Amino acid sequence: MTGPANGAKPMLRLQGISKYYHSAAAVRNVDLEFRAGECHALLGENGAGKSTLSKLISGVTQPTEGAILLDGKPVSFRSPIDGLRSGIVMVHQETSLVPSMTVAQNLFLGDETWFNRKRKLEIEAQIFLNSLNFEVSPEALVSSLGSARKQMVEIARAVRQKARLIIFDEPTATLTPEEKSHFFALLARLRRDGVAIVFISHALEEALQIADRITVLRDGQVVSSGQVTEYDRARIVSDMVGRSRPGDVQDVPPRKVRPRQKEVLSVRNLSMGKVVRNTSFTVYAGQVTGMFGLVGSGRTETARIIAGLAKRDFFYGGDVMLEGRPVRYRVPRQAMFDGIAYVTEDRKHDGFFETMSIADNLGVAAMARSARFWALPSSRLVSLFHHWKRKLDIKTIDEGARVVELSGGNQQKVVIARSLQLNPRIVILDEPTRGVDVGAIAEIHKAINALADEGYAVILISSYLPEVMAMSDRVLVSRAGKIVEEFSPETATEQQIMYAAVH
Amino acid sequence: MTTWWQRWRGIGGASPAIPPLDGPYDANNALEEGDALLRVDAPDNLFKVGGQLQFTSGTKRMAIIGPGEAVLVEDHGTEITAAAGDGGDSGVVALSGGTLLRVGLRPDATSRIGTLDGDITALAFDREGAILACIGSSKHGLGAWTRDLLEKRREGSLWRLDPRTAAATKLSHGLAYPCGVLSLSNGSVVVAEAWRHRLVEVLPGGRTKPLASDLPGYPARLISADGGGAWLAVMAPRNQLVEFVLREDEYRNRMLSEIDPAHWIAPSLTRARSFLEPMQQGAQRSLGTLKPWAPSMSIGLVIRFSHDWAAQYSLFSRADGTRHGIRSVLRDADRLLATSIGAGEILSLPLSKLGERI
Repeated sequence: MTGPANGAKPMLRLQGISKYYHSAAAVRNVDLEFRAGECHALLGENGAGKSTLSKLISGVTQPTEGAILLDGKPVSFRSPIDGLRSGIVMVHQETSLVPSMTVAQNLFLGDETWFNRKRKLEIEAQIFLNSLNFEVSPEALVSSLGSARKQMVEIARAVRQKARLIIFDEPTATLTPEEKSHFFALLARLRRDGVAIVFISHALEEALQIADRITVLRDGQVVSSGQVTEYDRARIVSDMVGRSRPGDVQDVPPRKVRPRQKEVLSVRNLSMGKVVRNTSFTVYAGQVTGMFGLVGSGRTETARIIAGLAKRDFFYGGDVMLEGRPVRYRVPRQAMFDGIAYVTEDRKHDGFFETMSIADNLGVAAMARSARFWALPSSRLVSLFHHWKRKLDIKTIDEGARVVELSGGNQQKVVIARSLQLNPRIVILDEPTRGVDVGAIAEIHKAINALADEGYAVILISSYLPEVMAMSDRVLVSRAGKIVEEFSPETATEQQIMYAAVH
Repeated sequence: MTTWWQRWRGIGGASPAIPPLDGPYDANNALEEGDALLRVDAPDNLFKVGGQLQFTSGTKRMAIIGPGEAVLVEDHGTEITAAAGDGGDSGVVALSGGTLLRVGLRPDATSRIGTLDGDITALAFDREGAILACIGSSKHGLGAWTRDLLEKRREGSLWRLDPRTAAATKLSHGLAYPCGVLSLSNGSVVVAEAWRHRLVEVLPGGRTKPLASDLPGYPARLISADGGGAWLAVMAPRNQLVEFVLREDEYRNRMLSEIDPAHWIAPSLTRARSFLEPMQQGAQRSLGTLKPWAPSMSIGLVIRFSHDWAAQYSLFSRADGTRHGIRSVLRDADRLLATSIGAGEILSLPLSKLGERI
């Protein structure tokens, strides 16, 4: 795809930008240009410096060296507000909306007048959301929205702020295929209006599809940059990881489906409002049971009921049978003691304590398992840390490193380690590779396979169909709050599964 | 107190939840895609006598002589309720009312063995040559099986008869409509209890030990499978609506006393054909097409069990199919035969292809 503005003068230029944290360089000597009406994809493994770079552009952090030129003039953003005033907006990977406010209030946040009529805000928000083809109710509380809808509101807010340059950090990770096509249409419209777009994603095919220019980063440096026509998937991957075969899902050789062992979990006619509607399925030990469905098809909610995080309907809510025994948990702790581990899809909010160290995070999980809530001695924490670091190949300097300092893939490994610390029988992984780079995806997949081989019953919830196909021994398809079909990954095609998920 | 609480909330024992049809019960069209060996009214009770394949249809005992061809062996004048072959030149047939006859290849080989009190629903020979007979219900005959279910009776029994002396011994009683019986090579006897949706081993003293519980339908005849394990015919699926009606005593009693049995909310061996039965399948009809996953009152289902009584896989005719009401199955060389009362067909399924599904 060739951009409409090729050859135009750069709107924003980075000259020799470097950013050091203590003595470690997050970004080193980067020269980049962003042109109006052009979509520029920034690609790289987690930890390659994409997020740091986007923070530097938007004013969240300031460069240690180098200069940022806006329309040819040097600028220095002291805060995101400065960036915003200059028309640079960042749409975050982890949403930055206020959960206790409505969609309309979030859209107009910071733009309020002295007297605000809620109804008027909602009508204006509705008109604006309709113009973007986003199906989100302006009256809904943000906390009640799923990840995809939150992302939509975030995008809508950026568009509304009449941005000149919008940085999208993993914008499509939570979107359904249909929502993605809407999103791409929106990008095309923004480009026509002369907005520069920075597109950060792990979905390489999407970058190839929509970007005009691609820049690949590795270890904080620009490895290559050029027109999209110069790139294909193999070249991007090779540039990203410095090796030709990173082993992502598309490179996994065909494997044999694991046989069923004993029935561990049987969910029968489970209902929760209009979200989970009379769903039934069975999970067996020693297998990965993949659960595919579009966002909003009730997969997460079903998993949350099983793990005791949500409650089924009071009347005729159905049964959950754990090894033939009916269970109904009032609190997650009961499920935990019964050996059910749930790895959340929203790791930042529910997965870990981000300002605590990895060892402390693991220690908290160990404490939760103990009946007495006694703090663990530091020697035990260190041994826990080394055990899980070795087992899941967590890349960090030492046990004192804070989780917030880790890359997305390693954060996810910490969350998985916390769950496995509970010594579960059933492990429910909800979108375990969302926002994780290609190299870490392969490692997480390896860990999931190891779990099933060890005899755990694994439920893998994913919206990424190739992942479900490659990892699962059975594929259950969820639609409108209910498991509607079961497929064998050996015989089913992606088209069949997608058809079942949509129709 | 607990019961009241459960009934009010529809949980625990009062939940109308049914087991999911996934894993080994993953729905497919294997029965629907099988060959029709023969079309005949209400075929049932497949068995072998002297190498000849025989089956029953109402009062008649017939023999299959080739694809699409069958001859009458004998018309017994009374409804035949069960039949079994002894692995040699003779077999045993049960008539409505409990009369047991020894039968052979020709009508002149028929002789009376004895009588049990009630309709016999399943027959088998044990390893010593004695006859094992299940009486589904001491209250109702075979034709009134839905009434027996809806009255929640548990009045079935298992008997052992000496074929020479006709001396009968009751092995167990209080069974919930036993509809299939199988004698294993180790001497133990397995019974399919339809209303409790399970397979049980009958222990000495009449006690039972569950082998496979919570089946997704009402089990019927049971035969042994090659390489250990068994094939089980399931005559009808469990259905949430039926489970619900079974818990609503007042409603159910009025239905039994006031409604024509053809329109009861009850499992069925045949697909609903009358437009007067919208709740049975029509509700899942979309643009004139019946959804295959519709929760219907009838279904075709045969389950393969392993030697340790774990379900391995199933053969289905789904809601949009016709081959429903599978009540008996038989192994014949390299194929599996099954009788579909709903379609009026005897089906032939190649075992080698079915094996690929494991």
